[in-house]
Amino acid sequence: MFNYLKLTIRTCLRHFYRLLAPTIRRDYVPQVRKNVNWFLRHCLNDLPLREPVLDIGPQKDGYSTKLFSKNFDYRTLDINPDSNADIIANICWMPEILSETFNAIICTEVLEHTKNPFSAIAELHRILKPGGYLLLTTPFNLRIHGPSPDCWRFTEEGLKILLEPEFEIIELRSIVPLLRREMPIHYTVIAQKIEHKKGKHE
Amino acid sequence: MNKFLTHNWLAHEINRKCTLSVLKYVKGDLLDIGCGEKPYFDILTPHINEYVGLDMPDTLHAKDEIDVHGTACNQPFKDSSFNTIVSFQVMEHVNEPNQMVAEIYRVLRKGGYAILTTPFMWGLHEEPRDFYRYTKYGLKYLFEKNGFEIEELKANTGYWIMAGLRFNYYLARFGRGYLKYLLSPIYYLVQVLSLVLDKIDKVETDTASYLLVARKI
Repeated sequence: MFNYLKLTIRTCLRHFYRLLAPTIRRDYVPQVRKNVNWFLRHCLNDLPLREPVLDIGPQKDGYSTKLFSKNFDYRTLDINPDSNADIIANICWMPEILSETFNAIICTEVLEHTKNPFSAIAELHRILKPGGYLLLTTPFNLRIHGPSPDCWRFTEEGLKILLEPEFEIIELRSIVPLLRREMPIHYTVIAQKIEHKKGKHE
Repeated sequence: MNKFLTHNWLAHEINRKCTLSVLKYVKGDLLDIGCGEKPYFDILTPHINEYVGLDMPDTLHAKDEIDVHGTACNQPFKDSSFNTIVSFQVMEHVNEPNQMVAEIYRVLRKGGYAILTTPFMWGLHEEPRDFYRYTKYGLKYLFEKNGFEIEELKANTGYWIMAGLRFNYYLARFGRGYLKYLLSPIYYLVQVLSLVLDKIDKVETDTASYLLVARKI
């Protein structure tokens, strides 16, 4: 009798949960996607981006692929061999790309999927020309998501540790919910590779 | 009983349960990285020889309990000097996690266990020393890369406990003075409800924290 009651209550609660869960559990993915698009538009308008540009892990028919005109030297990179990307490589270790190749790198929603973000940032630093821009976005308060393993989240201080001192952070913005300032949803960073000026003795 | 009036007794209870569940791995000399006020001293002491607490000299927590001053990335101990290393909710405050894990590997004896808990979906705290959050894949990578064998890696809560606790922390901002006593039934209800919902359906993608037990091979 007791077991039967328990089972009934359990089933009721489960149905209640299935009905209500999507409305209660807030999904920030659309907001993040919107912010990525805004960020790319903002960078294109306000930064002097020059060719060639590398886009890492662009989504199929994603926003960034439509941003540039046809004769602009825009290349894509992906880890997945089935994607139509121009270069297939793992950003933690890509010896096939020469140093100081690109003037700008777009790396949106990728860094949290790398196993070792420290070596990824070092590699991106290597293939970027001096004075080149790294356009980086990464979520913070977002559930574990696919496709490849989702390994990390970075706070503002964490991003600073990752990027400085090899990069100069020009802009670091976050979307913060109005009432919960301690739980930022998304960070967008514009970082510039520091040009080492030639010293007098050289 | 007074304990259950607070807004976050569930969080403390979960952490305590975690510690109780790993007692089978605890033995010999024990190092607590980022010990603070050693909240689980009473639980752990019956199973070990010696309890050494390591913490930074400029920590934000109580400083009376610290035995040795040092950081997680630079531990002032000889190689293989401990049987067990525990570290509760510390790893997110370490700026170089890889070096921390490498140091744990160095200081641990062969066959010894490293026991860590670290938050995932949790707000910024103790800023500016709050750097990263790790998912289970990130933790697995970090420890396996440094030569550990993962014994246990589990999500301590699901979505609902995380959300319930966050809601309570939010309410607690207003709960000052006598309002504290007015709000405490709400605190209690929210936590019980979230516990029930979590029992029914544990959404592990939004877990509040992870427990990891790794063995040095």
